[in-house]
Amino acid sequence: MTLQQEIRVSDELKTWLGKEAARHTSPPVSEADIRKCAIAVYWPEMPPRLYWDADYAEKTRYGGIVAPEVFNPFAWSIGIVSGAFLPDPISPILQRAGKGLNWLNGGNRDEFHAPMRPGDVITSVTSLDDVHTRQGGRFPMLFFTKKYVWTNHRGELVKVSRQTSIGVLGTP
Amino acid sequence: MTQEKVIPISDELKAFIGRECNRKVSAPVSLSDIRKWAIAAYWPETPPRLFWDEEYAKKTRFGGIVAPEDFNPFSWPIDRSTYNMGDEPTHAPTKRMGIGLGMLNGGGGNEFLSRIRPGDVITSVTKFDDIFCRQGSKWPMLFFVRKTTWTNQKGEVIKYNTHVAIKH
Repeated sequence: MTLQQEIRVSDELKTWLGKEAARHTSPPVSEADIRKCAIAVYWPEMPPRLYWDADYAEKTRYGGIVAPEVFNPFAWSIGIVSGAFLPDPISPILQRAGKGLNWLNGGNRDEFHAPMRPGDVITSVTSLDDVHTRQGGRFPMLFFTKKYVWTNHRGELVKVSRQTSIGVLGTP
Repeated sequence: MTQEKVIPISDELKAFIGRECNRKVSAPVSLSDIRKWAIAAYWPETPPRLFWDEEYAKKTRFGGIVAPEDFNPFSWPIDRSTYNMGDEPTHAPTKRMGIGLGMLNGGGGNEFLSRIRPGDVITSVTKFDDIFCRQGSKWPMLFFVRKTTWTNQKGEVIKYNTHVAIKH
């Protein structure tokens, strides 16, 4: 049976569309941060020298050590419980708007630009990128996408990340 | 059944006393190494500012950020062979004394002298401080006392660690 019921997107939520909702600055990235991330990513193999051997990395096209693309400079920050979920004011609104919905992870999309290097200080700006509803095969669904834009202290774009959550009215 | 005979230390084992068995050099300690260690040590509380706030730490008697005393600058090495205790050369002489390689942790202690600071490169040197045999209630036990000294790049001693391994 198909449930045809409208999910209303609250005006409170819509006002955040495209607006900066939160801004976080990382501690300076250290060589040790990069080395530890690379060890974890490549475990139990030895990680590529590009991530820990300064002499080797200097001779590559990067001209020095760079971080793996998955590196998270916000991990283990003072006052941020989880670097994967930087706090912002949209989440509590979404929680209220999404009461009665069952949430699915709609996936992530990442664009990588300048690599992160030792000494970099990364700023992340969070915004609401998209919110819309769609009728699914059985249930109405609310699609909600947050955008995180990372830049380094030289103003270079490092990464654009989009996280989509799907609220379903009904039990999938 | 109690085994009564006390097995004396062989000359080949005695020769290890005072000998270096492990040496390793850490990567430079970073501010974030110290911060992460402190977050873990004080979880879920916010760690003391001495371990992550440079402005605050400057005004303390330490004059800057220092690491917690239990900080380990050798964690997360690229070369994991440094985890080796360096006691393999004693295995054959131990077996020749009729003692197995099963090991009990006999405990140990630390003496802290200087603090580890961001930028420090720590050298660890471990020596056999003593090797002796004592009769247990059932079996003879061979005690390996190992002393480890950590120094920084300025030659200052950071800490002495004593560890006792018991083979039986």
